[in-house]
Amino acid sequence: MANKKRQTEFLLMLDKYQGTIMKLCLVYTDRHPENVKDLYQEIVCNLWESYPRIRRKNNIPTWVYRVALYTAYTHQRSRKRSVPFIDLDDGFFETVASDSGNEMVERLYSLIDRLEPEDRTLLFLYIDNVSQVRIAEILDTTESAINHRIKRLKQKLKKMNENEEEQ
Amino acid sequence: MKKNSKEELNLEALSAVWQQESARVEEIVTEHTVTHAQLNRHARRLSPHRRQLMITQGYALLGAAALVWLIAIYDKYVVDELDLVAHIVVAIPLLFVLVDSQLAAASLFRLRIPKRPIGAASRHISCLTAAVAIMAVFIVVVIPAYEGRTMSACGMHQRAMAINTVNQMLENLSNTAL
Repeated sequence: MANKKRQTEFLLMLDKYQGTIMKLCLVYTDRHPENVKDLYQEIVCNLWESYPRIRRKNNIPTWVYRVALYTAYTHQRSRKRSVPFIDLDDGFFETVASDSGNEMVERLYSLIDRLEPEDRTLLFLYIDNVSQVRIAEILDTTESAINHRIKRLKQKLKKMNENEEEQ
Repeated sequence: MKKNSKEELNLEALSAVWQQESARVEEIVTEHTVTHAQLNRHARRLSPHRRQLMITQGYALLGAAALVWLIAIYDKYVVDELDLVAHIVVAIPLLFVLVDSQLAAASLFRLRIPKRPIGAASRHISCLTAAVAIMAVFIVVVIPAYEGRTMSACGMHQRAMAINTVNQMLENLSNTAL
């Protein structure tokens, strides 16, 4: 009974943060529906596994981001060793991972793919409108360090822009 | 994000583009609700993708083992043609056993601890480890035992052949003498 109640609670929470998880899956994979599905499944597994251990229920957004990011890092490392498959069986993941039809979005994804993992995380959190206080909390650092890293990311983007123009 | 604009890669422009993508994803996701059954499936089952990957890796592993085995047979153990055939006859069902053992390991992990959600990746590693362990047992225990038996059978066969040859020689000698 208690387990059922916990499951319902968890599903309500999942409904609320499903969009965030899905966006993170798109940023950390090659947008192949199966890879998006795999990462999504692992994130949900890890969230469910660690759900009983969250003490402060008001800190759920930070916890979701933390678990999802950690899973994405691990998944990315293991993905390098595995072989890609083509096995499309779930319409939902196909729709989410399909080409948005927006050229600017596709260019944004290709830019994200070229970034280092730390910069990718920072950029994702920043453009996803996560406050700098929350980013600091998620990445377990101080707000001033985040400000400094954002400044450096801006410089890096500027440099990438210049390089692109030269080419 | 316009190609020739100097401002194209600033964070604010990227953020504006991301908001469009974010809206698209949120719209799709709101129509999709995870149910209790799906949660259980997410937590306990291997995705078809991972299962396929696991089976393929299993086959690759078995292929490599079979190759090593065949090389070993050619190098060291082939005494006559009969022995090679015997090895191949044993190798084929063994390959089936090993493929099955990998799948059995997957279901075993699910059956033993049904309430605990295990990450697909860790299950995948466990299955491979189980397959390697089973293969190691076969290589270290079963094959040497089998080798010993066939070698001794072969020795008996050679001895019988030698006795026959001696008998034949004696018969020839006696015939000549007569």
